[in-house]
Amino acid sequence: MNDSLSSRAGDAEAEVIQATTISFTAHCYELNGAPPLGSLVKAVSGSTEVIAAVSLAQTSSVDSGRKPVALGDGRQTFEEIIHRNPHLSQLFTTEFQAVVVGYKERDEYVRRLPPAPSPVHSPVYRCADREIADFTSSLSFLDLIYAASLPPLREEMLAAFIRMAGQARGGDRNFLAEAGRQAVVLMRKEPAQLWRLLEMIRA
Amino acid sequence: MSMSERLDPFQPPDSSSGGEPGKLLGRVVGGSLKDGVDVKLDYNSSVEDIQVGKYVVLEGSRLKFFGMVTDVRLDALNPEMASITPNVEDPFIAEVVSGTATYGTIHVLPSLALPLESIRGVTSPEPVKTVPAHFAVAREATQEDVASVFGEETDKNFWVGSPLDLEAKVCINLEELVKRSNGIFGKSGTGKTFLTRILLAGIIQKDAAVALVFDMHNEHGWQGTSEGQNSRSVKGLKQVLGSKVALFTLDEESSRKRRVSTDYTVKIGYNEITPEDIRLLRESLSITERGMDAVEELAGCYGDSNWLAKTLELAAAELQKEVKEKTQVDIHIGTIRALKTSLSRLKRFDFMEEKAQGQPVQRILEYLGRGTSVVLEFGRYADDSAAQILVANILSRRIHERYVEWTEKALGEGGAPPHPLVIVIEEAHKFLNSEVASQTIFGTIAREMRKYNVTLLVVDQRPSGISDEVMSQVGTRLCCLLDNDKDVESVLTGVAGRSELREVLAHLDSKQQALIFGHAVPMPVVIKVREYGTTESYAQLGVSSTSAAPADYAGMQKEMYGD
Repeated sequence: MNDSLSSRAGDAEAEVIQATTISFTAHCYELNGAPPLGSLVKAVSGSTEVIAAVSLAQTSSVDSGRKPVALGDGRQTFEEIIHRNPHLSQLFTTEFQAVVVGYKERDEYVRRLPPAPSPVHSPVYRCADREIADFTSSLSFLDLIYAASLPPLREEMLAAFIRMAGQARGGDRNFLAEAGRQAVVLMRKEPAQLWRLLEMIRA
Repeated sequence: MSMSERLDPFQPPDSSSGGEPGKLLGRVVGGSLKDGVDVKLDYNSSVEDIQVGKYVVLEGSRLKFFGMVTDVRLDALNPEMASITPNVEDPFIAEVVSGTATYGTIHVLPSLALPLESIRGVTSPEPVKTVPAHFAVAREATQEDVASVFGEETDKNFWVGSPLDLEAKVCINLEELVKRSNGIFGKSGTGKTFLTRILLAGIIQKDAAVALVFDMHNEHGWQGTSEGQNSRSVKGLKQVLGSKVALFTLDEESSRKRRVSTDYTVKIGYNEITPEDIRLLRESLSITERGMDAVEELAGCYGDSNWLAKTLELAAAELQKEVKEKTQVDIHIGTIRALKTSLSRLKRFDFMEEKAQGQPVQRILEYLGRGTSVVLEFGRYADDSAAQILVANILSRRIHERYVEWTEKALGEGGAPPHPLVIVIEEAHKFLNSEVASQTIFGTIAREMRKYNVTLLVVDQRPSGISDEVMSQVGTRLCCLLDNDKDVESVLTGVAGRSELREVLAHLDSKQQALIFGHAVPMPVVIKVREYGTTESYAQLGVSSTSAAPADYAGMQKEMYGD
């Protein structure tokens, strides 16, 4: 994940198509090309970067009235089906939602909600390891992820984010432990889910 | 700024940093002045590293508080967290969970506070009148903290031991100590004798007072034994302090058998026993209340110094007749017979004579006057409480009388008051239980406090047996492990933070640990008692052979005996 993430960091992968103060939805340029759950992305407009963590990806029909049907007969692989039906990429779109965790202004990361949402059509990039490491040098924004994600997804989302950040920081065990401690405080009322989260991030 | 340029923000705080502040333990999260404060332990501090009795510093914004851990508790952020157990087998999860989801809380009883600004100045810690604010940092005390509270070892400050988990010297102010009666308590085998010996060595070595030790079990004078698995003999006070200690004995034969050379053999004459002495022995000699009335009548008839000899010598009928002639009181013949039988038990004490030849009181006073402490060995009377009560009471009463005369003379004529005297009694409940405390000289001494410069050092394993009134006068208490509720209650009567100290007391090690609180220490403290029994310790506690008695002893002697 790291390698692909870094190598592609230069190009935008998606475009904001809907934005609120706490999250935005981006349309991926490539079908099934959403960044992994929990990964850190930035929506860039002018000198402002809105930093967000991917919380939900979805691929669906462009025309909501048309229901997709099965195309294979059980013997083809996914790749064969796509190869035989090149038009599919025009009929489906992949979108993802990202929870806003902060922004960058004048080269400084601010770990709270930006004053305004990202403008629609801002290009969305994946953050590089170095950016992730810089942004996660303080974890004061974790509660934004917690607050903006819903229960069944919450611990998965938090765990995915923490794992991603941990990897970007070279598997820093102290970081993982500190993030775990923050998660303990956030999820104190849901011990069973909390223990699951800790299992997921354990070093 | 890149990550490599800055310090890792997730590095746990350095816990082993030597030098200035002690290890961070946690932060204050609640409490009250009355009950003490709660400190939530930081995730780097484990409850298992913290013992009750540990010495802790709380850093408020303007005050630095000194306190003692009195309880350790396990808490959880959410009670359900403890019941839905995480996978703590995994070291990572265990690390994350401990100190956050589940954490330790220590209860600290702050005793003293010091303003932060003048911490290096002259201001000394004062008793607390408030508590540190929320989130004040709690740290392990350092050697400097201990020194700032208990002072350095000096002529007046005697090093008794060190706090738990810390190599620092806890000192007792001996000058304050000897101003009041003090107590050393602890159940048997917890090191009372050991602690007594050390404290006495300190008092004698530093000339804080002279001591008169009623050494019921022959452990203090020449040689004692250290308790424990490899019990060995340790030097007694005489061996360590040489000429500053004189050894008296009640039982020459026993001393000779133990190859102890004594300075004087104490003999007590019948003429020295008064009805009050007999009253104390009522129980051990099984004398009835009627028998006591008869004793009073006999004393009235023959005089205080003759009555016992006469009672033992004459026949019952004769006694009855003579008393009736002189005082018109008719004592029942059966009462006299029973009394004679009871009193005849005094004859079996070899230290008793019809008429004392020597003057033991005089001799003891001579030594005390020279600044030499006196240890009186009881020899074979180690388990005979009648002998102990009799001898200790008779001698102490006379000596106390002389001190009273002396002090009053000094007050009236402006001379030097006598050097403080500490009388050491073991198994003190025999002398100070509520039935006899009002009658024995020891009860009087305990109540008088420093008035006549005579105080007690009571050593006992059953403090609940000592009268409440006497206990309330005990200035400084040095308590080894006590586990009987009544005893603990009695030792802690009238002490602030009683319920907290009770926990501390109940969890002391059974050997060589003591909780000290009261007049001579600024705050309650648990100590590991300093070492005694090694060559080094003897050297530290002993005196050089050239050291002479302090100058005022010469004056004292003149005051007492003339030129």
